Amino acid sequence: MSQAASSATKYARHCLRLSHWGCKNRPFYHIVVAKKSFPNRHYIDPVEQVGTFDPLPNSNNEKLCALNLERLHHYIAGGITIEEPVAQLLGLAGFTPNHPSTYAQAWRNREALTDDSKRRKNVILKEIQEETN
Amino acid sequence: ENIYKMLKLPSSISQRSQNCVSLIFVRHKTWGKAVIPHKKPRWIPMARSKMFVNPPTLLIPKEELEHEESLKVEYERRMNALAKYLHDDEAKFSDRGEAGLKEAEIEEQEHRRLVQENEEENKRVAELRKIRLQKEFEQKKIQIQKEVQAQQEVEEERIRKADIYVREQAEKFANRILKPDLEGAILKALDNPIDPEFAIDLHGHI
Repeated sequence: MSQAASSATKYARHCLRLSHWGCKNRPFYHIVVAKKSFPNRHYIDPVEQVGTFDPLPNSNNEKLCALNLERLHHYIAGGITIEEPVAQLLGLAGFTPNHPSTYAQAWRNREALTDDSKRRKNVILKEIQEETN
Repeated sequence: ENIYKMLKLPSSISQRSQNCVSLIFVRHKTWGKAVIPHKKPRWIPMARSKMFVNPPTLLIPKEELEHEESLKVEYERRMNALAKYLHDDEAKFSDRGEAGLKEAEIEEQEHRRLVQENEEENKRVAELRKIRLQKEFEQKKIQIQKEVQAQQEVEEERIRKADIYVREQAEKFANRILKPDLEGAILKALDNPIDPEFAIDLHGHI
């Protein structure tokens, strides 16, 4: 019983997070299991790397993400904390339920399409880009 | 440049242009954040324009925030359920869970059985090997004895031949000419010359 309880919270002090591995103007992330108290730097070795995420879309307009589902199964069973970006990715992949921030982002983007004041200023909409081009 | 040398200013001075001189003093530290920020001293009170200012109003409507909260609660609930399910699944079906341990035990038993079989086979083969080696040993022993005997015979033959030779030589030696008999032997040899050039007929006459 105690063994089961301890194994259910084995990774309570760890978290699944994105570790920035890209360079200037080229972000790239490793999905990494690391201790929460450790700083999120790529030169600090994590417990394990469990996937990657490329935020820039490729030639087929896809944002590629790799996930090691077997190991994720093991860590989630051990009670690991999943940070928001990784939770979003897992939700979109279908491995976990969708994070509320996914839904929030979706309805806010939908609002911004019609209401100009609610738009984020650092993003250029495709239509406006085409107009300028 | 001369002004900087005269005033003995530190090296972290910025030079905007050669015409105008602008002095920007920057204080440095050796540890932590290197540059000490230029801020108001903490004993000076807050400016009156900044006091009694209302906090910024949240533009997101209340219903939306409540909806987000409810989504969050639902998500937490589902994630906890998932974690529990995955934990039970791992406990039952993973390589370190019950199923895995059972499989490991079965494999262990199989391994022990095979090891036992191997040991028995080894024993059987060892017995056969023992018999074979014994046979070979005896054969080798006989072979060695034969060789030794042959060698002994060769040695005896050699000794026998040597013996005969020595006896012949000894007999010859007995007929040697000594120094006082030398003159008599010479006269005898001169009196009896031997001519090797001769022939004999069928009756044996020279």
